[in-house]
Amino acid sequence: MPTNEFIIYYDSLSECIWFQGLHPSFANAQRRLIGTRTNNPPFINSLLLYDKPDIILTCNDEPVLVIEKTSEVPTGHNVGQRFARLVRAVELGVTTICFFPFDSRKHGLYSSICNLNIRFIKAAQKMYQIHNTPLLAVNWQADNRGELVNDGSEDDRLKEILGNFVSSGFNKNCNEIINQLEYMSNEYARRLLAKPSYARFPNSVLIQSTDSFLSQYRIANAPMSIVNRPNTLVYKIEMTPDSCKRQDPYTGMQFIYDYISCRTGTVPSDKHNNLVLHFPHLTQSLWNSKNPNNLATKSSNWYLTANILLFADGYCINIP
Amino acid sequence: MTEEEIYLGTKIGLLKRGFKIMAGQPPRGTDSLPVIEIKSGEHTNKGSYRSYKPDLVCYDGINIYIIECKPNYNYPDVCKLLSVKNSPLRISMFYNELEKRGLFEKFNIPAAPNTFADLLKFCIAYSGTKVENPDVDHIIVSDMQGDIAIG
Repeated sequence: MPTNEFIIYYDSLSECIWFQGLHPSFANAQRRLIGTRTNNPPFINSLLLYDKPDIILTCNDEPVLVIEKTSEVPTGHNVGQRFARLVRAVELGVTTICFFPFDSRKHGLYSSICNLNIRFIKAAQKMYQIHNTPLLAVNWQADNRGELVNDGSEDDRLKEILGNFVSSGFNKNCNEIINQLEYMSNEYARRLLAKPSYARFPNSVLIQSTDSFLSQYRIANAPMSIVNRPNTLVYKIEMTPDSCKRQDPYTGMQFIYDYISCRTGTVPSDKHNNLVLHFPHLTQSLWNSKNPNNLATKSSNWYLTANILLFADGYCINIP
Repeated sequence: MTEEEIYLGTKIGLLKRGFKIMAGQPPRGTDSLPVIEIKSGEHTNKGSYRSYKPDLVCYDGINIYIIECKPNYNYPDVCKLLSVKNSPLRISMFYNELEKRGLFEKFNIPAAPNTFADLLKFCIAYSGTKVENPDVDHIIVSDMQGDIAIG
């Protein structure tokens, strides 16, 4: 029987060594530093198209797992910060795990306990339905003061999931993955009960009829694919001219709203609602100079899924 | 050796010698340790203004070490450490940071605000030949597996 050859592609050596401790099979895996977008084997380059994840595990040169680790709670708008790279992995059918605290203390001038924005879970559930590939959120536990546990036990749940995933031959629907998806559903329901406002979109998001949207912004030449969708989700992004050459967390958030309210299928054009990115403080020419659709940089992430980019002085129809 | 390798070699070497690693931040990515921020104490709206995040903070049962890691001896790192060592305000900010995170309690460190400065040691970790500078302690790192010399 052939043995599995594991290679760990990593961005941080500390994270690679941490990952190797999560399963005995990974202990002697080869380590390879992830290069820039085009300087890796093609199947790795493809995973990097939206952004660079922390860990990519390959087995016999097939990517089988992507892991993202962060000690920051994805609260509020920050939830979009790392989301695009996770979307890419799921789109390519690679099981993805994001390990982060669901609740922990943020230190600083106004120290407080921050909580997970559960739209992460909602989007992950929808992605699983569409791509049949899990994006698991695994909780990095905190103690009763809100400080992150770091005695090694914080990794116990990850080890359980990975143990089952490896022994099942990387079955995306192995028992522990299904159990974790169920845990995520329960967490979503519990947290929604505690904070019912999550059932609505934040003030930056508006869903309106496509007719009224096109008429309000005098968009006359929209293709029928846009006109025929009954509703349009408008995500208002308040970037200012001084700080508009950026992507995070907005391009991650666009995917969260896309999956929650627009997407129906595996490709971005499979939508039942249009997705519009609205930049009320930016002109189109400034936008084009700062955020061109250049595949060599992350600014191309702005063009991955939205149907229209709307500016203070015009708009751009985008074919994702 | 790279900065990441120095960080890991230092951390592993200190653990082998019985040190407790209290906090830290690797050059890239996320470790499992709390990240400590020593603020300047200057009045400003920006909480992180001139703040400083040590690469490693550890405890040997007597002293608390603030450690900066670089591939080679790095004088700016020495200056960074001295900016804390020579500032009672920064030392008190450091005390507050450890205290509010419960790290004195967690590591059973008998610290008090008025004697805290006496517990502190300031240290640079690097590879290669030791460069004499008595202002700070030195950790010479030979490999990533934790072969280190402290002096």
